[in-house]
Amino acid sequence: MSDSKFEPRIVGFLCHWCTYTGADLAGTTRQQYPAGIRIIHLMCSGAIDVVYVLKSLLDGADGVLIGGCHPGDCHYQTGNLKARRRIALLRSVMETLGLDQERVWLRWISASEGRLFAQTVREYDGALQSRGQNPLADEWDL
Amino acid sequence: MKTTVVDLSADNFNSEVEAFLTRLLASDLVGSLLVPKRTTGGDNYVHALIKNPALLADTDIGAPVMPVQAARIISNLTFRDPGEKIGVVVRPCEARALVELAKFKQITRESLVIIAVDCLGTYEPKVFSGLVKAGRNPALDLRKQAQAGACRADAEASFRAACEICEYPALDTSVVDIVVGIWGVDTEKQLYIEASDVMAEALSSRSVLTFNEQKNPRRQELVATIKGERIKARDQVLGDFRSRVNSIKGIQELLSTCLRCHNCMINCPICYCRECVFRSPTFEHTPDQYLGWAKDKGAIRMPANTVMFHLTRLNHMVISCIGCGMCDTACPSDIPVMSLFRTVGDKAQKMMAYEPGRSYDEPAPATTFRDSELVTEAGMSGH
Repeated sequence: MSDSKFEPRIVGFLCHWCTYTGADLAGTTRQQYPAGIRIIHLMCSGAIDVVYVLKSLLDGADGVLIGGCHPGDCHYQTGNLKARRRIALLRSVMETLGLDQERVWLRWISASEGRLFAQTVREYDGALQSRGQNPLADEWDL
Repeated sequence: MKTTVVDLSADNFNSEVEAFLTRLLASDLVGSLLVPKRTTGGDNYVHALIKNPALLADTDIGAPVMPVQAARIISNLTFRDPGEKIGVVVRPCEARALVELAKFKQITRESLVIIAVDCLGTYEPKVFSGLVKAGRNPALDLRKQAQAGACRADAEASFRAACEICEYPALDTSVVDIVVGIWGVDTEKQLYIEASDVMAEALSSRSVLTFNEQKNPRRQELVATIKGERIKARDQVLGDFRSRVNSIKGIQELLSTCLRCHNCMINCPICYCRECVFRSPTFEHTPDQYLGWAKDKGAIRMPANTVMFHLTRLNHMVISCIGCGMCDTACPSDIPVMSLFRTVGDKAQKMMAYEPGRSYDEPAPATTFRDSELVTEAGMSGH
């Protein structure tokens, strides 16, 4: 383990209409991005409950990426903007308690932005490489 | 707003209030009253839902004890239209919780006549009981002090931690119908009442109360002073908490003795869900799931998800936390849950420019949004 390079594990909660389709496009157009992302398909970024983000982090995921439509493009009108409030709140809670809020990212990626999806995952992977493994991964008492 | 100062015609403050409540109950403005009433055991006050005016005896609107947050009871009574108006006597934190519950459609505001009483502080029920058994009259002791200034707890007791840092010792009539003022009032001689214009008109036209427009100038001044002192005390408590709980280790130390009884959630007036996700099938895991997690980490605390329970509850309701401290009262392990929520809530509420309990018209932050906001807070600036 110590010899091998740290490969961050990212849980991706992606909305059906934009980012998930964008991730699909990244695949079909053979964009390269780190394999450490595990994608969970949601109908809308606004459907995310933070309980699942927290579960991922407390179980040891190195980062959580929530992907939604650009503002104005939400299939359900404004789910993404409600998600933004929820994520801002989550990061605020984390900051007050001294938890690393950079382990939660929210990004707008459209269905046509396969390249941006791949680039975002590469960028997040890089950011998490420099932060190192999620310290919660080794905590049993949670 | 209309005001009135009533010179006590009855023997004492409680009798005068009882007479007022009796007239209110006899009017068509309410069909029942929810008022703190001395228990048969004599050492506690609980909210009683009263239909028969004779049973207004032994009520005390200012008993300094809060065994249950009245907003929870009122939610049970009015989550559907109860078919009649209920007059409810509450303290400021209970009224503020009602404002939040109205936004979540857990109460029917139109079914309520809300009477908010100035709060002089509350004792834990067991402390209050002890004082009564030792022959004290905690309500009367505090009322006498409140004429002159801040109330001190009995020498052999202390107030609940939440009350020590509460910035709302009194309300005005913006979110309630009637206010009974105690701060700065000579309750040996007078009863001071404020009412919204609509309620004042309704009360006068039914001869429940006459508004003579006398004010109590001392009250406002005193409340402002107390509020200032409480804010200072609050900032001290929050600052201490912040420096103590600022890492996962701090969180683990804080929750070390958590029993996972869910009492903090059950007693919280804001945690209104009929079925909490933590008591739903989502968290009914199979044996192989537990064993899998134990294998991944080498070991897991059982019952699982203790930190997650508290972090999730923070995310779900801290924005609406009115700081009543029922979580502290309910915790059998004396975990300072209220300090946790007030500290996290302080930052989160400022971020959303939201003050829980302030207004019925401000939507709950989770139900709304603005087009361009929170970009930095959500970690999206530069993207």
